[in-house]
Amino acid sequence: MMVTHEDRSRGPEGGGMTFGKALGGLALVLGAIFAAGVALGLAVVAVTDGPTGLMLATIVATLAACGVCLWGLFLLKPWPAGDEPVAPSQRRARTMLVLSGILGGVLGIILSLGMFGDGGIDFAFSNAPLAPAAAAGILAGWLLFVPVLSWIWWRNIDEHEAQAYTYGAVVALHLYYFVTPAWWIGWRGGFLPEPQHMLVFILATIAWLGGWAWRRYR
Amino acid sequence: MDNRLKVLRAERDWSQAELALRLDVSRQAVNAIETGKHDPSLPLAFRIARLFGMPIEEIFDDGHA
Repeated sequence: MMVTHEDRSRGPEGGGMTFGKALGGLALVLGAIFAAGVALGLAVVAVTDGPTGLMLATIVATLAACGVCLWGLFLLKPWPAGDEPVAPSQRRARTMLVLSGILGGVLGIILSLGMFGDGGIDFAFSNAPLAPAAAAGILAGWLLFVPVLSWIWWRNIDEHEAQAYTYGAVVALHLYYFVTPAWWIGWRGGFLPEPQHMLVFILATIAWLGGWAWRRYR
Repeated sequence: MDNRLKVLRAERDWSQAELALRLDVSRQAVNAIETGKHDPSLPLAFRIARLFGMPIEEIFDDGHA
């Protein structure tokens, strides 16, 4: 008996990862990293320049936000069940993803620490100067480790994931293709602020991850 | 593309994860093939056919047979 379009099941059996869980988990991880980075950066400023009441309150608030994100992750459980058999190649691919996540977290925290210059808080992806040591650390992680992890990951993913990733890349490319010149023209026309390359990069990355998660977990 | 993957898997009492392990793909890939969201490549279709000991056209139907 062929399984036809009419009687196909809609989701994975036995629960498992879904698109919503994947996206929610990603948002919570990024939120926890960002909150931890802000709290750590403020703590460094508090130690060097002396704490203020507002600073201490912000540290407590960001630590609380980090805790809420981690608690949300614990409740959501956006990871596979422990007793589920996994092919060795898939296990290696997952390990690379986890290592990439940890590396991303470390880079994010370094970047967040670099936000705090002269007692002020700049947006993490602004064009404000970074401490040379922080910039060198981020560059080393981005140019040395990320390409290696990506190559190993590509060598181990299956065709379904490769297709999902490619789909996400096409979505991101189209977003970049339309947003970048539109913003530039708008700026030259005087009705938009100066284009921010890193903001476009972040938008493209979010589109890429969203497209990938949509195709893989929907 | 219609297919009998879910039925063949159920006949052997395999979960999606167990079938994925045998095919060296992710469980999401098996789910996507079963639900028609992903058409497998020719190499993967051959692996599936060999695993079940059947010709490809007895597992997959493109509606033009």
